[in-house]
Amino acid sequence: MSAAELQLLDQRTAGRARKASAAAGMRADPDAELVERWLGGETLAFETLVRRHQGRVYRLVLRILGSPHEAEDVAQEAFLSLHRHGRRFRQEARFSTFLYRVATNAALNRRRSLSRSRAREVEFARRQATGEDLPSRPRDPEGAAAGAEVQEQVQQALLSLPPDLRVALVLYDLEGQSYREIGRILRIPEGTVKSRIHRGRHALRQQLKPRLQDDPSQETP
Amino acid sequence: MSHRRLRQRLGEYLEGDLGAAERARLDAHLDACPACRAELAELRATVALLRSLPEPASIPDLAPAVMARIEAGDRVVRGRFRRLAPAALAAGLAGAALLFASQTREPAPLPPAPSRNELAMAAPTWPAVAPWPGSIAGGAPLRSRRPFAAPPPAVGQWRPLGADPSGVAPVDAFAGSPTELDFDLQLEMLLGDPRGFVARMGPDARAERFARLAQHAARRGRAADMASRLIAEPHPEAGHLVPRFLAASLAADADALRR
Repeated sequence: MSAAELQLLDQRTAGRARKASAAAGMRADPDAELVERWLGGETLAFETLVRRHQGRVYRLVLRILGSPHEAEDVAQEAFLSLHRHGRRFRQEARFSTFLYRVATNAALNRRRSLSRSRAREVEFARRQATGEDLPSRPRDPEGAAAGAEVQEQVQQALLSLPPDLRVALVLYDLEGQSYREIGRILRIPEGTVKSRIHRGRHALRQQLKPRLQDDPSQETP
Repeated sequence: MSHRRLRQRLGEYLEGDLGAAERARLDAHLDACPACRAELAELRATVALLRSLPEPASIPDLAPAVMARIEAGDRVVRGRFRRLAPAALAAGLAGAALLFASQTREPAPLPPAPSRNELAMAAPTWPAVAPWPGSIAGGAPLRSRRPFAAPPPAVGQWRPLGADPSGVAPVDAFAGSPTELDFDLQLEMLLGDPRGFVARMGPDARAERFARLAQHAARRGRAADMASRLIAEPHPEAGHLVPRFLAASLAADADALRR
């Protein structure tokens, strides 16, 4: 099936799901119909779900693991795991919540081998050398280098945090999820979510302290 | 409230999570305390830096690879059933005598080991999605296990150690008589999640089953590798398997020398 047809299917099913939810008078899951069809055996519905959510899954896993190559691999694993164990999704939460949970677990379960951390170092060096992964190229090269360096420091500081704090920060500050939603994703109480976010920020601040003290822009009102 | 207590609430202050009274108290403290002011500024700058991390330069299209891998996995599983079906039919027709004969005859040569991807695909019943109790994503800290939410199982309803207390039925990965593919899968499962693997092992004849798995690894020439990988990443729950794999590896070496 072509990409255009998939997109059409995507729009159609999203539209139907929205209408159904309006009729039910509740905030429904926009993925509900696709999920139902997938669990009913429609492979195409699953493919549509993958295309709809691959961006957020990849981004989440990339922030947790730090390496684009590894993130692509783990994001694929997450979808495969989802496909294998989809029957465990019983609509007790939104599909996206369940998917975030599967992706987070896939990222955290990735075994940390020596070769992988070495690969990460090599990739870090390569990205530094080529300036890859920058959002855009600023006009002045010095500023560009400084911006890239800061981003790399922040990403490395994030990677140095304990996984539970890192995941909470990624979900809250980078994915924009609410305390409640993060609690559902990680199956922990909201109070624990808050505490992990605050502890994570304090830890990150310690890591970035030299940078913060150099940076005059911290004097915000 | 003391300086220390107020300082601990700076994170909540920044997020607007404090009530009006507490916020006013902290505002007053901030006016008087340069250290807390500096810390708040640093926290604010930290959050700004974190949130300024750019979106990934590009998002890979995962769908083709994912769908291809799903299809490949389906093929592996279907192929496995095709292989097993005639054997089941033969056993049904010939009855117990044939079954007995099949158990006592010389083992057939091993089929080639499937690739890692095929193995991953051929394990549709291995529930790896739900976090194990004590995992980070599951929320409970690693050191202290959360108490069981469900009442303890009644006598006779045995539940393996470490099984998911959320009510998901544990899967005995060793039920029935394992094929070579099952053994290959078990080796991958063991490497992927030693703790879960051991926890999900059924209670019957555990030692014998582990021994057969180790012998299989030796036949594949992987026993020494399995032992070294289990040693490299120690898991207390799987630690007792290391000597088994080592022993199987040594036995296989000795066998080869004799020949």
